[in-house]
Amino acid sequence: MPFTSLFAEWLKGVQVLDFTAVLAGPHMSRVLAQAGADVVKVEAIPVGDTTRGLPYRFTGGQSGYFKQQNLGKRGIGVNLASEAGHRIAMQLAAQSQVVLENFRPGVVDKLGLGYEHIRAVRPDVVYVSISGWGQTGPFSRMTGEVRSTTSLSGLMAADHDGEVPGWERCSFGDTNASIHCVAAIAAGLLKARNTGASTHVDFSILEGLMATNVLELPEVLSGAGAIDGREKRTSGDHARVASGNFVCADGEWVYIRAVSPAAWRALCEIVELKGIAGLGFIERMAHAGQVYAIIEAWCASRGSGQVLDELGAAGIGVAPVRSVREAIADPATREAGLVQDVPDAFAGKVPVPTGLFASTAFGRAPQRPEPLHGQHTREVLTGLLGYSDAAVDELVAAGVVQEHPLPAVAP
Amino acid sequence: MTAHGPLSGVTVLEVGDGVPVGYAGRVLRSLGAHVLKLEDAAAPDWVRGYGSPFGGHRAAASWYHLNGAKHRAVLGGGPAAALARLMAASDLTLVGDGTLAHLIEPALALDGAGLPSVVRIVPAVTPPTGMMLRADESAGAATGLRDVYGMGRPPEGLRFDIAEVNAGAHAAAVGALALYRRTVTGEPVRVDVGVYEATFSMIEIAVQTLLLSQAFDSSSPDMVGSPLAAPYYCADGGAVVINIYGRGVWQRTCAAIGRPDLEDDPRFIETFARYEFGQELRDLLDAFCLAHPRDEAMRRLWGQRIPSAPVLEPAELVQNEQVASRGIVAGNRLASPYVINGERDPLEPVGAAQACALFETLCAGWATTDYREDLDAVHIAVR
Repeated sequence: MPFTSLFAEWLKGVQVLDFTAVLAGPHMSRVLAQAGADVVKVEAIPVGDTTRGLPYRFTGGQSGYFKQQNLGKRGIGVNLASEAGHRIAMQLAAQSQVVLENFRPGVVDKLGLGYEHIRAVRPDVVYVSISGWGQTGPFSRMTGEVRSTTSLSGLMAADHDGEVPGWERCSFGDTNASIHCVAAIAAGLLKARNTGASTHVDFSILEGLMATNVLELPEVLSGAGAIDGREKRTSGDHARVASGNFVCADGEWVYIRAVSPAAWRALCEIVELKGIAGLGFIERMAHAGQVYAIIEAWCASRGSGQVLDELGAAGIGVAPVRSVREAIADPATREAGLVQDVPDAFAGKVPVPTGLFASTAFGRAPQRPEPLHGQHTREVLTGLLGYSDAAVDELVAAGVVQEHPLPAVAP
Repeated sequence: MTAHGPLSGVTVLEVGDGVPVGYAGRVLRSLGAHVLKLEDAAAPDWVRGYGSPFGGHRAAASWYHLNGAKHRAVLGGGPAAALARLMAASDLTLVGDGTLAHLIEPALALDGAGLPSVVRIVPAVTPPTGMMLRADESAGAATGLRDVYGMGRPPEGLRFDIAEVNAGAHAAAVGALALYRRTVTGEPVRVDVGVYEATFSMIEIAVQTLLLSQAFDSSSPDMVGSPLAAPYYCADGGAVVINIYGRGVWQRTCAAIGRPDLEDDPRFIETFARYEFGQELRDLLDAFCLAHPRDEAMRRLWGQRIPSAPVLEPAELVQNEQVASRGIVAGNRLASPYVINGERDPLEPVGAAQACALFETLCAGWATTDYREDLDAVHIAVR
């Protein structure tokens, strides 16, 4: 079923005002930019989004991290605490269907840029607030970044040996919030178009993680307790009999997932798990040790290619456990559009993982570069707000706005 | 049904089995859409058996988590034509795995299908070289996901179906965007969301870090983010996560751990130096945590506004004061993760009477409907 229209046009004509920084917000607004929205990223001056300064910086001072999350946006530098800077923000808000922020709760209201302030000038605004803990509650004023919220969410709970998993390196809690909020933004735009009414989305990283915990939390809430009957469960995979990582005779690892009845029965037949093929999901837990021992022995007695072929042909979920390095090296990764060469102001072109929405299924549109800090200040003020160049000069001189201060560096 | 969600008035047909499509439908339901969950009467969604039965029902808590607030039906007999009619009555169709999913293409070819927008969840749109994936967690393994979650031997510690729910969330976002797109242009949207591609998208920071470390010829791929933000064990066996970044957080950390003498220590004051002296810093934090029970360690850390949190079990989480104050736990289930205009949809379960009334209307003239108590769903029998 091929795509029917270029994703890069889905939000054409939508103006987005983006006060977000770091990851959860920028990842969300990058998707909107990839969908064709005009995203204007507002950064404080003189120092903008702190991720600009993370390690691995290109010649112009931009970190690769910042580049990846801010592709396709326009950037302006504004002193939001100044009267003139606030006026600029409100003028932009009046022209924007979508306004995004991920400050600590309370900060936007102090800046006079909260939902009610914006709604006064843009009655149909879709206003999204992403935070760690949510806009209300006893934790709300605490810094709520992804690591703290994930720790609390139950997803890092200890295994049966009391060991807590080490930290993951993809910040799922952040991007999970981003994607959920993209859905909410589209819904809000639809509502604004149909009714003219505004939408304020209060989304917390913690609650997004709770919603995604589709097995353990529902079990706990339903009163069933932990699903293997112990207070501290075995690790997630072992609770899902049978799924997990297994090493093959050639030393390669494969991941096997056989939890649906059909896949489970097929697995039992192939690896000769006798007498338990008819057991339900919960009943299998009692046999977990036996099940895993047999699968381990079966995998250990043949090469990974054979394991993948045999189980795959039987409709069982199975794949090689690849490293990120191996996945990057696969030519199909570029063919899928998952890594693309993106223009860089100083380095020519650099390879960047650009996400699902830039992939082949979505039309694989060329990706525009990330903004330098204040790169589009003049362009936005004159083009969107009608300021004269002289007025912009005055604002720059007064320290209200900042144009790209990075030194010009020869490619 | 909700009165305040932004998708109020929108009807989404969800066809097929599995966690990804169920989660996609749940997200759109959480935003106020009216979601019709359709299963094959002869082979219902396997997620029904995914865990302990939910409060007096036959199906699992997980299945109700995903589908309890949807209007649920099972279809028997003449499914392609019936699918076409139900698709025509909906604004968007989400398609997952299973027997009914295979009938989507034939249904689209029928006259009665109209021009529906369809978002289908597939294993991969462009599969990795030489692989035959399925639209489940295994597709994620091929992206490097499990490498991201641990070092050395692939870890077993993932606590949930991360690739599957992530694909579902992406499909929901695509679905919502497709709804908006159709309203603006009048054109239906058809698009496939690959679990493989969605997972690769999810781990893109780790991918970017590796690409950058290669480009910069660095041997320290962990230089992005904070490798020090790992769990530290406490005196009572509990654990906390502490995330130190920036100069201010470091100086407050010194106060929290009772080491004001280190406030200006060049080994720790700047982020870059902390990478170099990571083990020394870990030793300091280990010593602090091991000297205090978890709750006391947290009291001291939060007293200084250090980004940190206890590592909780799910059972502890639902008792947590922040969680309780926000109302995301609604009795024995989770409510919507969205607070929209100050309100959270409780995702009330859809009862038999509601579901019967709706499907009776939708199927009038071409099918009979009755309630199947064993499946807690309306049975649609095509005439």
